[in-house]
Amino acid sequence: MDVNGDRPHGPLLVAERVRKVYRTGGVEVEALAGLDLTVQRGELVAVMGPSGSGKTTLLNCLSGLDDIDGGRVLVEGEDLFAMSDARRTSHRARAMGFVFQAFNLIPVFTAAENVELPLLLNGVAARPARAAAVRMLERVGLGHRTTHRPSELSGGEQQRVTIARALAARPAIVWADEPTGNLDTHMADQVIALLHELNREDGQTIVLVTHDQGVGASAGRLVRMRDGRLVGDERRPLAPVGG
Amino acid sequence: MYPNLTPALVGLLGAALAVTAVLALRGPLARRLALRQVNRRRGEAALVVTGSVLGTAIIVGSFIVGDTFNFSIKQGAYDHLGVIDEVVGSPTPGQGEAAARRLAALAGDPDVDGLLAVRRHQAAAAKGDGGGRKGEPRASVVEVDFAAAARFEGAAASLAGPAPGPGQAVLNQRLASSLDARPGDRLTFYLYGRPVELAVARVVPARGLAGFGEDGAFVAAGSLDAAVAAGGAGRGAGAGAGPETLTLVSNTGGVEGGNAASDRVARKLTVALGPLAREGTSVDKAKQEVLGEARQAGDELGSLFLFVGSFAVIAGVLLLVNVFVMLAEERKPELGMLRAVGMRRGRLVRGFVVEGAVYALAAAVLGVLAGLAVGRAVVEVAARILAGFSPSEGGLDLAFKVTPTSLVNGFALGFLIAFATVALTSIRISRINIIAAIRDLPGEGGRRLKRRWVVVSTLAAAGSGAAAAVAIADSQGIGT
Repeated sequence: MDVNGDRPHGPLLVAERVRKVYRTGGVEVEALAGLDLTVQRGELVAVMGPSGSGKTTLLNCLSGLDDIDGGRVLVEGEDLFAMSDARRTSHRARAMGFVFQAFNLIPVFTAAENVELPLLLNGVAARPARAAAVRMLERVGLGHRTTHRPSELSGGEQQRVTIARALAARPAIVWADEPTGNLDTHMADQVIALLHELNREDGQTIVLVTHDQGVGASAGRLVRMRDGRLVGDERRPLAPVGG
Repeated sequence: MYPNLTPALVGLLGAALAVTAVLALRGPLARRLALRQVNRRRGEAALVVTGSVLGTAIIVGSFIVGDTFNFSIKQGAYDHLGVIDEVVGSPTPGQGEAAARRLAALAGDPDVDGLLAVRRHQAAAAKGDGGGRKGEPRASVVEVDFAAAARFEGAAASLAGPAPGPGQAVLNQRLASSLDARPGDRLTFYLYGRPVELAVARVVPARGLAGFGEDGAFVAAGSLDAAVAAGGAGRGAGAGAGPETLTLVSNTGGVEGGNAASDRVARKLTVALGPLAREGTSVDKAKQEVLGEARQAGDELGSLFLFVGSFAVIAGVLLLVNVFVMLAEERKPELGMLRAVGMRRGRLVRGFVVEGAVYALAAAVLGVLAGLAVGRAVVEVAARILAGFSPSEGGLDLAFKVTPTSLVNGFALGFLIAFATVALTSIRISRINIIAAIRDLPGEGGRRLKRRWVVVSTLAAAGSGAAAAVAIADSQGIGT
C-alpha cells in the first residue's frame, strides 16, 4: 500500500534469475545462483536457511541495498537496478522500510526524530512528520518514550523504534534481517508479535530473514534457502505467536 | 600582507559561508544531524579543530612576521630619513652648489615643503688613544645650517637646539654609541687625511635629519672650510675627493604622506636642474626606494616563513582528513542506515559540509588567535637575533605589527583550507557501501577508492599550491 492508500494490482516484488557473486582475492563465491521469487502484497514471508545459504544477501539484493550480478528485481513494477543510485535511494525511502539486527538507530536523535527520518527524507513537512512519528511510536507501545535517545532505551524498545521507523512512511514492503537476533526471548516474542499484528491489521508486506524455527513457523509463508537457491516455499495459515 | 589577495579570499569566504548557510537553512535534517554530532563527539571535534588550527596559525603567523618586518623596515626608513623625501646629489661640489641655487626656485612649490642644502664629508672618527682608543672608520661629518634645519624639519626637529660652536659637533646616538662618546668628550675626525679635533656639544637621537648621516656628526655650516682647504679637497676638486653638496627635499604631507608625491616632485626637481641633470646631478627618491625595499623585504620574509610553514599547513590538512575520516568511520553504521532509509549521497555530503563548516569556523577563529601567538614568538626570537647586528650589518629594531589585512587573509585562508578539505573528504565518505557500513565491515573496493582519492587529493593540493604560489608571487603587498 502506498502513502495514499491505493493498492496497485500485480505482485509487489518480482525477482527473476537474480545472481550475486562475491569476489575475494581470486576466489568467486556465488551467493545467489539465479534465484526467482515473487512476493504478493500483504504477505509475511520468512526466509530461513543454514549459515551461508544467502538469506541476508537475498534481502540486501532484493531491497536494492546491494548490487546484483545478473537478473532483475521489480518492486511495484519498477526495475530497481535500471535506476540511478539517486533514484533507487528515493525509491527505497518511499517504498521500503528496514529492520536490522543491530537496530542502527541514529544515536544523536530521539526516538521520535529517528522515526520521522524516512518521512522527512520523503519530503513530508516537519510538523506532520513529527505527528506521524509519535502516532507510530504509540502504535508500537512507545508513546511515553518519544523524547528518549537510543542510549536511554532497552534493546527491545530500540528494536520497536526501528520497526516504527521502518513503518513510518507506510512503505510497500518492510525488510527485516534477524530482527530478534540481539533480543532475549521475551522481547523477541514481543517484536515478532508486533510484526504479525502490523501484517494482519494493516496488511503490511514483510519479508524477514531468521534462523529461529519458531519465528519461521509463525509466518504465513516460509521460504527455505540453501547454497544461494530456493529449496522450499510453503504457504500456510498464520500461527499464533507470543506476546 | 597581500592586500591584493583580500578581495578574492573574502569573496571565496563569503561564498563558502553562504553555501553553508543555505545548506543549513534549507536542510533542517542535515543541520540537526550536523550540530548534534558536533555536540556529541566533543573529543573528536576538538581533534578536527586542532588539525585546522595548526594550519591557520602558521598562515597568520607568517603574515604577521611579514607585517612586522615590513613595518619595522619602513619605520627604520622614516627614522632614518624623517621628512626627507628626495636627495639631489652632484658629482662635484661645484655642481652641487649650482644645483642647490637652481632648486631654491622650488621653495614656493605647493608639493615642496622645504629644501635644505648640506655638505657631507666622509671621515674616520676616533676617541682617546692607546689601549682605550675607540674608532668608527665610516662616519660622516655633515655641515648644516642649524636654523635652516630646524625650519626644514618643523616641530619635531631632530637637531633642535643651539648650533655647535667652532670646534664642536653634535653627534647622533649611533656614532656616540660606536665611540662611547658623551657631551664634552673630544673626538678626532680624519678629513681628507688630516686630523680635525671636535668636542661633543650634545648627543641627539638618530632619527630624521640627525639619522641621515647614519654614524653622523653635525657641525655648523662653513666650520670645516679651513680643514677642507688644508686637506687639499677644496671646491672644484674632482669627484670623491671633497665633500658632497646635497640638497635635501621634503615633500608636502609629512613624514609618511609626503612619499605619495615623490614621483611628481622628482620630475619638478629634474626640470629645475636643467642642464645639470644631463651633467650628472641626479634626483634620488630616497624615501620611496627605502619603502619599496622595506615592502619587498617584508613580503619576502613573510613568504619564506609561509613556505617553511606550508609543511605544517599540509600536515594540518592531512591530520584534518584523517580525523574526519576517522570520525566518519566511527559513525559508519549510522551513515549506512541513513543511506538505507533513503538519504541520498548529496544530502549526506551536505550534512558533513555543515558540520565541517562549524569546525572550520571555530578553527579559523582559534587559529587567528594562535597565529598571533606564533607571530609574536617568531618576532621575539628574530628580534633577539637581529639585535646582535648593527644597521650596516643588516641589524634591525623589530617592532611587532599586525595589520587587519593579514588577520582577514589568514582567517579566510584557514577557513577555506579546512572547508575544502572537509567538503572533499565528505564526498569520499558518502561513497560508502551501505551493507558494509551497516555491519561495520571494511568496504568493497576500498583500495581502489583510496588510490583514486590519493591521486585526486594530491593533484588538488598541487593545484592549490601552484595557484597560491602564483598569487603570492604576483602580490605587491601594497598597503600592508
